[in-house]
Amino acid sequence: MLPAAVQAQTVPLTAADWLQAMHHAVHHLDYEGRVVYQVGSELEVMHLQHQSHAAGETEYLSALSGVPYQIRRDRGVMHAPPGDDRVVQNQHILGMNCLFHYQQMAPHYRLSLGKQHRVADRLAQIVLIEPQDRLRLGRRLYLDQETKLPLRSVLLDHQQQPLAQTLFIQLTLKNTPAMSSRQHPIPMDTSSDRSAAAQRWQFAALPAGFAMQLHHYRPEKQRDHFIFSDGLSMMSLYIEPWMDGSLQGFSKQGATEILGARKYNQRLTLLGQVPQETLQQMMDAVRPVP
Amino acid sequence: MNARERVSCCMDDELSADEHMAVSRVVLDDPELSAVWARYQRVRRLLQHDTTPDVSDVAARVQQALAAEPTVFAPVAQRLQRAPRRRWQMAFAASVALLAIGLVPQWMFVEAPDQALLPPAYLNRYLSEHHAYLGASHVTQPNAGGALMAVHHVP
Repeated sequence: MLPAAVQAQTVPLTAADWLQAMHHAVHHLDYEGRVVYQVGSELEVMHLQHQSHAAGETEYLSALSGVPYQIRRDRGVMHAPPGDDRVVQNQHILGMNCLFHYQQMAPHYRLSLGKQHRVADRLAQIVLIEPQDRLRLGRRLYLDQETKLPLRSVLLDHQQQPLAQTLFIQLTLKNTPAMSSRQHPIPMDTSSDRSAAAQRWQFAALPAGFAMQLHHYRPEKQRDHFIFSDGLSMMSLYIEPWMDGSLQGFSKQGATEILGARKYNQRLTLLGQVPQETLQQMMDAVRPVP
Repeated sequence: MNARERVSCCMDDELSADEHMAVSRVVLDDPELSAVWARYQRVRRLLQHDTTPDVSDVAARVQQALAAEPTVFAPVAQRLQRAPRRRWQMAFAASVALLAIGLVPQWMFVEAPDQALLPPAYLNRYLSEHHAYLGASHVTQPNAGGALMAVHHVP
């Protein structure tokens, strides 16, 4: 079912209601269409298909321009052909880059409603998400009036200039909001195995608003993967033994900032669609457990 | 036509959209075909430099859609001018034109002048894993108090 606040159409929706409805729609509706992803001077046209079913979500992303490829994410597991950097860059279109947890993000972003706009021949409501500090980036979302799907999503820098954007140029719905009341199981082990490996690292002072969401450990590679989020933005931290030739300093792929460092003879790599300052603060916070 | 030939035809745009989609899905589930696919991609990109704009109706519609609202297309380059930098691009990708369709991603090594020309392979792996979680519903479940949701050991 759609959130109650969304169902009560007689009451005007707040920006938070719109975002909550968007999050629900992205994960529970069946839809497909042509999507454009733009970052800097690059443009890529793709076909996106999202299916919601009892076992979870299945998504397909196919390139319609340049060398063809297809990516599938099935119940959280990514299946992608190797050897193409475009695949890596464009994977995040799956799920429409839609991370949203209102209670966590609210203190750090200012939400407001903008004008109505037309996207993909559909009426859209603009929702503005402005960061309250310089540790995160803003968004301008164009949400479909009918379904609340993000027809256009623009990532903004601190000067309100677009860093990247995703835009539907054609959208087909396969079911209506009323039909999609399925609840998806969470495809993960939630047993909270706080093993010794998980306790090897601590974080002295995380960037304001960010909290750890997940931790994976691959014993055969001695690799830790931590995911942090402020409720809207997400960054990953990878820690594994140092190897010569690894990245030291900042790098960038598309709109994703990357920071590599050698600390405690480990290779630390941070990445996410956040300002470099945020990655640096996060890097400075990493400490081994004594 | 065997599977390899179908992949080859797919690369050469000799299949219909439906056939192309079918081949793509078969490739995803077959490691051998997946490797063939990747090899063909590298060869094709080397031969064509992957710079030929795809002049299709899609391109026209995209430009039309984006023209409806002005967009700054080079914010990254503007920002990077403030610091010494080295703009890195895949060896087989030539310079690109504004608004061309179907371009290769750009890597930029900002403060790592001693880095090799190719980005370390592990970065793609990291990005791929990161993107697998971005927008995934299980990462967006409410996490009261910001506490750790789960710790996995991945075998």
